Amino acid sequence: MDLESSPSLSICWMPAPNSKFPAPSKRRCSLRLGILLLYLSPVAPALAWWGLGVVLWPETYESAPAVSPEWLRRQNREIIWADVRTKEEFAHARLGGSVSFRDGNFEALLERMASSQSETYLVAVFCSGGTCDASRRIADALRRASGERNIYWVKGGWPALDADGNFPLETGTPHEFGLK
Amino acid sequence: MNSASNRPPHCGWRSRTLEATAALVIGGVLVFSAASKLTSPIEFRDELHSYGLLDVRASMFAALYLILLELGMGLSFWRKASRGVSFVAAALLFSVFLCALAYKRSLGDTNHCGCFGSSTPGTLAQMVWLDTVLLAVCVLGAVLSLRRDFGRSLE
Repeated sequence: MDLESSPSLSICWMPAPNSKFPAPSKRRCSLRLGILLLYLSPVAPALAWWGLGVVLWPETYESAPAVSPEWLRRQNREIIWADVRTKEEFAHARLGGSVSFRDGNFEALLERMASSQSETYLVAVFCSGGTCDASRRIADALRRASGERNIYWVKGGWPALDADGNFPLETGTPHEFGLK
Repeated sequence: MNSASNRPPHCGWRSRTLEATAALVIGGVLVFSAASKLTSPIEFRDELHSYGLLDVRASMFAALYLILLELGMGLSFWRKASRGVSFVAAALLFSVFLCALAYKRSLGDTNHCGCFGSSTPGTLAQMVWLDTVLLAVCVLGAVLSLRRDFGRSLE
């Protein structure tokens, strides 16, 4: 593409002597430049802030993202559920193929991840509801310990998943990777 | 000094008051929104991540960039001389936000969008209306500011 004849691609485009396009007014030129500067001005501080954060607080910046049941459903991927609820709650009802993770049962979870048939599975950690700070910390720790980036924390926990109603439930005898 | 009757219509007190009110509203909303997100940037990162377009690191950078952009843009309304540019830039920003909301809606997600921070209530539909109203205010402010500047340059 000939930039000389593309007025829309430049801010203060000056036409060639034989161009059919008129030169932009000084006002229009200043306006375009002003808008561009306004949009670009936060790039450097944001980059600095982000870079400092990654160096100083990697545990925060690399923490497991909070996701909704809707978001998980949209992924169309195999989900490995890490259930941080009490063992009684887990035994009563749980999501299909979930792992009880109440005591930080890393071995069971890693075993479950290794047994996954899918290359693109994701791990969703959830609690019994409320603020779920403990389950979020567990998700962060799991993310750091395993080095996997596909570990998420379910916002709203079990009540949100139960209300969504689109994930198959299991009752009765826990899954073989569950209670040990 | 010009008498009131000799002044062109764009210099009237109504235009000036409307423009100042629009600047106050848009500037205030942007600063409030940035401050609200600043209290919990990780939650805003998660909101951006939920769009599925950026990974966690890129979402974090985008969150910080948007917070600073909103803050800078909001504060720029205090300077009367640059209000025209600020209104045009804010209109572009709200247009981008509206496109993002439409994309979120197209994904079937009608949850809270975190547009003005996670602490502010409102559904996706309410946020679309609010963004549309703010966009209209920006356009009105831009027209008034640029018309005033243009009128001045002709005097």
